Amino acid sequence: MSTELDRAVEALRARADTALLPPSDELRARGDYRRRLTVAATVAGVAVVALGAALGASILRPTAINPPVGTPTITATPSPTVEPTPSVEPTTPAPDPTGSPIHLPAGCGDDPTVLPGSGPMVAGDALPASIMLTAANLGRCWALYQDVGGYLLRDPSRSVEPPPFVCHLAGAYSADEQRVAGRFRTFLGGPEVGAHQAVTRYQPGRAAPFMDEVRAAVQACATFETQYDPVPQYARIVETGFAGDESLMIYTGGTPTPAAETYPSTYIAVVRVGDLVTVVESSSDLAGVPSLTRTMAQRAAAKL
Amino acid sequence: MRDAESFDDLYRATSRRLMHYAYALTGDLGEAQDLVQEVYIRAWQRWSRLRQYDAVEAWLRHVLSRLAIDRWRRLRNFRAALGRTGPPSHVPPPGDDGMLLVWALRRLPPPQRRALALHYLFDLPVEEIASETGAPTGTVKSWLSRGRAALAVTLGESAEAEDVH
Repeated sequence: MSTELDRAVEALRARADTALLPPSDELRARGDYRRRLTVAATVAGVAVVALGAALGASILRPTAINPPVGTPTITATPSPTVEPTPSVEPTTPAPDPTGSPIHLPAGCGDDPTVLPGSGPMVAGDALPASIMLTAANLGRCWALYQDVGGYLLRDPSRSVEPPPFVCHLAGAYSADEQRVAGRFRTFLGGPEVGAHQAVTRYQPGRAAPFMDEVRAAVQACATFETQYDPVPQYARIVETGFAGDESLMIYTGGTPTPAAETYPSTYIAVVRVGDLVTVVESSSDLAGVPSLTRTMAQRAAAKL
Repeated sequence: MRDAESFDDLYRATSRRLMHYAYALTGDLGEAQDLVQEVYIRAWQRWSRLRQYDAVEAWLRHVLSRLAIDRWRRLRNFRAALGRTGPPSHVPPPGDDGMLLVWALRRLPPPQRRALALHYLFDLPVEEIASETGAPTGTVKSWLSRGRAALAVTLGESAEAEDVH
């Protein structure tokens, strides 16, 4: 290093040293206080939260759960079968207005806290729980928070869109009208760390066209902006063929290609197995984790 | 169960270095203070898990750089909203070499700024910078080379390249 630069770096250090930092116990106290107030983002990724909306901002408040849309006929296709249960089921117990902790296994750090809320608006028949990911499938330090029978309905009031939500330029999927059954799960891995999985059954032969629509959505969102962060964002399919009959790994973030500098960023995996499609996504307060999303997708596909 | 003592030890050992890094990235002491505090608050919230990591300080730097990038975006939006967008001033600030270096760093693209800060403040070799930033080593060398050339001009040096190891 040159003398000039050496001297400048030392001067920078000296100048930075003039700034006072609080004692560590004060920071710990602030962290503890914040933790008590923290609301985990429970459906991060289902909605516009995918880009820019801070984790914790998307809270599903109690609302009436929609009745089933129509009475779809479940055709005889390979497993799984549809559970003979009500097609709409609330998933959370009676709300505690102060928020409730979701307990993680011992040694996993702080428990996330969630405000009272209901599940998202759903319709259609419930696919069996046995085809869904479990918390253990994600790792030791995860907990199942939400398990909803039926497929997600669009809910603009809470910025909820049926997955995969790539960006607002993509519009709704026309294949959504061909859904007959579904199930949705949300997992929490700590404060501001979450993941979700949706499985949807389509009418025979309609799942493959849905995948085409997803590809088109990514193309439509190649460059876009969000209301939260009006700077260019990008969507790309960064991996295919890693699970099921066909699979897509969708990246959205602040650089045209995934890079460490990208924040926020997210990864969504979409996997089709016959007439079933599963969408999985992981999220944290830092960025999406492609390896976890891929693992989730592969394990999810194996259960279909 | 979180261990406050080990967290305090980490804070004592690393907070000054992280403050140097934050100042190099942001060019603003107040902003750097805010970022450093935020990073340690987040670290404490995850301490039960984080303390088991081999490279906790790298995690701190990683979080800090992401937070800094987030702030740059917000600031850029803020400036756009005010209609005052534009490059930083072309007039170097008066004062010591440290302020001059900060001014020069702020004129660099964020990846170059980050790579230079990691290289000169933490003595990280190219391979470790590549690992920490997720960029290929060739890209890191390019960042360092270009960043150093730009700094050399500002600091009145000849732009002769140094070998990167």
